[in-house]
Amino acid sequence: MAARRGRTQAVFYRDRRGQEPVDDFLEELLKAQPLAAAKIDDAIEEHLNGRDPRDPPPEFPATSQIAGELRELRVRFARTRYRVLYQRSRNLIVLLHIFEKNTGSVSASDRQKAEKRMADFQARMDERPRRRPRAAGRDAPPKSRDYHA
Amino acid sequence: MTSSPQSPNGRSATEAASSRAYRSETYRDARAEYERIRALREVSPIAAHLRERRFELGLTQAEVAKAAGTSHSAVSRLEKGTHIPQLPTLQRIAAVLDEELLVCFQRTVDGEVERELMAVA
Repeated sequence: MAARRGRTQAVFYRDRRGQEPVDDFLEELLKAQPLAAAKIDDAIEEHLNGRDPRDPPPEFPATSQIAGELRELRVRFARTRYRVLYQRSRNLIVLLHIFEKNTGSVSASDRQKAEKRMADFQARMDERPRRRPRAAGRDAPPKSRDYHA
Repeated sequence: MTSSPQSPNGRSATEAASSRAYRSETYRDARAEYERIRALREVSPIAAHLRERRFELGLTQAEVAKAAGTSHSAVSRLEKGTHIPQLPTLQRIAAVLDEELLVCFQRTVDGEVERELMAVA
């Protein structure tokens, strides 16, 4: 399905080495438990994609707040519970971290991992865009001072 | 969505899901089943819940019916959302699906909604 302009779009966070941890997790799950991978993808599609970014987040129990703008998508498959930690950045829903949840609340280490990735995401998005390399040799434009020499 | 390798936003979830569907028939069938369950939820949330639960536990309608002491057709009609069985039958089906059936009574007192949740038996 093509993304609708102005609507939310879920994307995987990519680290500096090019790894996408949530997608990597889902790829591993596809091998072991394809039905669970399908359910998680279905929940992402249903609850996170194609929404008006100005709308309030999907209600509990589909999602819930973790801390500040960090939220979790809650997915139960048979007897296993999965949590996808995400945060919205404009119309992007950045999928930061995923894990099986076996305890009552999201652990501090899981929360910190997601927060660290979001901070990295924002820092890299805020970096100035790379400039195209300057033409060299005969294609190089004349230096401005040459005009006044 | 396409993004450069240096970009912190990777591929879109939709694109990744399409790729998984292309590679795995089981995954593709499961996505189709979840779509049907989502549509069923609009008609009958109970039917959708039971169908989803049975699907995830890898049970057939016939297996659920046999274990719950009811007919295959009763489970089939239940999952279509056309017929809700009597509470004892529903209770046995829930037990086969490793769940417990509870009943919720709701009333409004002075504009405030009060709910009481309780076991059937």
